[in-house]
Amino acid sequence: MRPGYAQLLALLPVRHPMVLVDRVTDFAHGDTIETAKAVTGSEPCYQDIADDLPAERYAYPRSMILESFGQSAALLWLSSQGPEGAGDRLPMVGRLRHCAFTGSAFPGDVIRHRVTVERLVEDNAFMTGESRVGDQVILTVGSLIAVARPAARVTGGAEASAGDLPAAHQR
Amino acid sequence: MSGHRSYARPLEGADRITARAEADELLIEADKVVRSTDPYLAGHFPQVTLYPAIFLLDGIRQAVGAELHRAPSLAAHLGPGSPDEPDTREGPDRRPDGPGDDWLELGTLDSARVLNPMLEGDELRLLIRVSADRPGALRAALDCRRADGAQVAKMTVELVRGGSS
Repeated sequence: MRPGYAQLLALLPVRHPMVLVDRVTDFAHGDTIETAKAVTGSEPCYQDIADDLPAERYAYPRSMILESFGQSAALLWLSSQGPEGAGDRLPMVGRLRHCAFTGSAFPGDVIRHRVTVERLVEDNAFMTGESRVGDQVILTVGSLIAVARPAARVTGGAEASAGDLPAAHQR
Repeated sequence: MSGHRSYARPLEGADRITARAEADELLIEADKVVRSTDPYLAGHFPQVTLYPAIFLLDGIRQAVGAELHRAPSLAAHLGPGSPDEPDTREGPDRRPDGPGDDWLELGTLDSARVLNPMLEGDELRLLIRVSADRPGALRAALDCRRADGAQVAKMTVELVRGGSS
């Protein structure tokens, strides 16, 4: 896949300000993806922060780090599919297990995700990985199970394009 | 111009919270209506609003942080916060943290599973059961349901004090 931002947007259905991957830095079809997410203090999560707080209070929300990891996983799966793509099915995270946060990211940091496919079984993808800032591992994901579901079933019939991320839905 | 939040968060994870301490646990009920006007939701997605399940994780830590003062034994189990908290000053000089606004972080996520979509207008109720975990950590189990009673998500996480890892 081309690592450009336009290609990234062509694959992900989320849009500003929910696009939490900035660049694909490495990709091996059906195997591994590496992505980068730059944290900036202009993101909505920093809105309405009080003045005079210590620096540690500007930690990027860990839920957003996990969302960014999930979007990276979605890019890996979507980029590894054949020309038929996901069709009318939404690939999304069905389950997360054994995730551990061991550090934080702050404005100015670049989070680098590495996601690896462990196995693909029909409409399910089993993935694992970790996220780093510099040399420090800040998140380890033991198991992320992505599933593909009919779009109409997920959205209650409302229109949606393919793809979803840790906003997982599984029946 | 100074804001009112004492830590970064993607959005307010609850519109209303009630809680009570019971035995060794803290039981929390937090209500959240899915609104396309909330931060980030305009991009998730442009055509149809689906509440990201990941925001439930943030809702857990926000709600527990807001209600932890009702369970002093659990607060003590977490250990003291960073030296800068809590601020006990009264009046306009008081920082917006302190009792009722403990800064908690996700430590581990044992499991998270979403069973039904959360769409625009859905009224979510987050039922959170908080108990002591390993020293310095709390365990929070979430059962999230829509107003029609349908379970939409269940998650189990470990919470630690912000700045401790």
